[in-house]
Amino acid sequence: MSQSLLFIPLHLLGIALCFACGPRRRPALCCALGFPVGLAAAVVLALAMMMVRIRHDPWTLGAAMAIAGLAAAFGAARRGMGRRDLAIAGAWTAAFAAMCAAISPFNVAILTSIDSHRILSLAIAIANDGGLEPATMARLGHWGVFQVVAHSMMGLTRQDFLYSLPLALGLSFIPVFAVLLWHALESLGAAPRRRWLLVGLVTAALFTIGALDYHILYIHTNLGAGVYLFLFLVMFWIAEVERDASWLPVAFLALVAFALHRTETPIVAVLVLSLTVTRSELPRRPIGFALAGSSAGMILWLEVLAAHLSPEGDFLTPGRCHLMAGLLAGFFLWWAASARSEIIRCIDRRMPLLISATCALALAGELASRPDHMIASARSWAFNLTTLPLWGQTWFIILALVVIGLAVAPPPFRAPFAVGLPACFAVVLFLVYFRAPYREGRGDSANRMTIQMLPLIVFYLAIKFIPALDCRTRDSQRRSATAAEIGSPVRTSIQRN
Amino acid sequence: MVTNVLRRMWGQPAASRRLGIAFVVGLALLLGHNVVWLAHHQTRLSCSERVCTSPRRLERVAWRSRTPKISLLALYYLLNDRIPHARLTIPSSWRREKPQLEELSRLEVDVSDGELLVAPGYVEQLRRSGARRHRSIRGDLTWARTRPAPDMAVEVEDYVFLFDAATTDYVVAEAPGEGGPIFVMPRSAYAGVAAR
Repeated sequence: MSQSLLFIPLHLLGIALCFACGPRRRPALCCALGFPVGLAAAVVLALAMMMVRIRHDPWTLGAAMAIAGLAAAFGAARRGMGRRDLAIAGAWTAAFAAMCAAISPFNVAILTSIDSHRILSLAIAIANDGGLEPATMARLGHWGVFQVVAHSMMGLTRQDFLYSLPLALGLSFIPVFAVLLWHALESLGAAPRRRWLLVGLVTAALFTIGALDYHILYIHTNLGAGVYLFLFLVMFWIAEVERDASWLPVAFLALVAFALHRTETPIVAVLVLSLTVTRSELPRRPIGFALAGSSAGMILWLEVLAAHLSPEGDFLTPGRCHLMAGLLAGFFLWWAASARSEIIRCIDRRMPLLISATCALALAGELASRPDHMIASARSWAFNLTTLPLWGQTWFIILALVVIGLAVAPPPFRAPFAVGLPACFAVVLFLVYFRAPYREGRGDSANRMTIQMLPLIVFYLAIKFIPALDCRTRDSQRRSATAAEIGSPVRTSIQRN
Repeated sequence: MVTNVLRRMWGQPAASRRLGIAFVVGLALLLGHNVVWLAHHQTRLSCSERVCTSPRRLERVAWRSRTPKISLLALYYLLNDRIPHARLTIPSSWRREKPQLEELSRLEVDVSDGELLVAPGYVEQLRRSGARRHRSIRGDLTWARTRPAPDMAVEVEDYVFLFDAATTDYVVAEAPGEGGPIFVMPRSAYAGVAAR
């Protein structure tokens, strides 16, 4: 039960933040986003406090969360959060509290791998030391810091560890996925009459996949990374399609949370930024603020981490941290310069092609350099996806849908999905060049990292196919509108697409 | 180019609608596959792959693991819970465990110059005295735990923790030979059973 007393304030913090500086015109979405956004905000807050040497204990963390929550609630009230919004938030919070009360008494978390225990050990060390001691920092070269800091909040409960955290995040992701898909289809003009049914079908098909369910119970980094990558890409995409910059602050908070999840995620963050902000038609000012803030946070963390790592480390080393920090800084400068340079804007327009070519060349180079290593890794990865019991026949069905989807007209601003997702797969394969080959088995890194892309693949297929179901309706609408136009000089816009 | 050809073939509105229907059928197939999979495997998979309740104490979760590394963590979680900030002397062979013991168990760790072994008869003496899971052997001084070994009929001790509320000075000792239990005991108790 005591874990609910941590999760509910996090949920409320997230709701307040979304109403204060997120998509406040969509109260159901703000409420659905409550827990993931509140968790991300609390972790970023706790990490910032530890970096300025404020003691990490239940009192300081509780006070910081209370202050942040009150400030966000004040901001939400000033921005016109009305009675209807409060009623929706109240109902949603009651449902979330009921869910927490149901899951908190039972430990169904999967902790069978040493990885889960390493994450929990680091979290316990942080809680015991009251902050990030040098010895703890040195061990963070193997792990992202997000889940470690999230689990170090167990001091706010009376439990040994937050066994319900992955389950709470996974269950709260289900309505987030459904509501975001609903809004995406709405912005694409899909017929509302069967939208809920189709959204329900897509959501049910995704969240019954055995491997995803496994990760919803597994204490590790991949589910969290997948949730926050999904939030950034989808929220940015909807912001772009609707020309509504109010989604950006929460989207970029999700990007920071994603980048803090794993050692390689800052690289993927730069990749998805290249496919989103460089080609965006949103106003530059809100993008600039969000990009500067998130990049500064990520760079600062990487530089602090670099100061404590060993140059002989297996995963992150000071050199690799500097490289990733440099990538992030370089990307921000590139984006800033694009306002004044036609050449940069010209390159930005060809960014999807550039990224595809870079990924292809990098993989070809690695394949030429270490063919056995790369082929063995690719084979193990494919073996895991097609033969492990947790996946079943999932990938055969998804691949069939992807192939059929090639014939369907794509949605607008598709590059983050159409190029970004294959590029993410390429990055997974690219990374193995620098480490031991991927292996056959459930716990293999590539197999786990695939979970991070899975919700985005299903989402992209849905926004591609579902509007196609209305084609005949639209076609007849278009014909009748054209007939109306003959008699009227006013041009009628029927659909955005 | 391939997608353009495909779109020219199937991308007309009526055909697109058919593709949309194909997607719905594909999703229904995926959902059906997943439901059948879940129903089929929920009873067949091991506890590590399906919904299965575990203890809420971290030490007990680790202790149930068959992986020796994780089993050892169970001891560290226990020490963090029972004797935080105590002084612990470890044998030289345990030097690599020092950082983890300091961080995870909040102990002040000293490394001994050599091995710390209990007398050969001590393990048998414990066994005869009836050490069982969660059972006190002598008042509140001793707290031992055993666990069933995988695929074995007998119970073996994983570690034995001798707790004394009056002391903050402990040692880690090992039984002579391979595969015996690990002892964490007050220095005074170790002095009485150390191998000569």
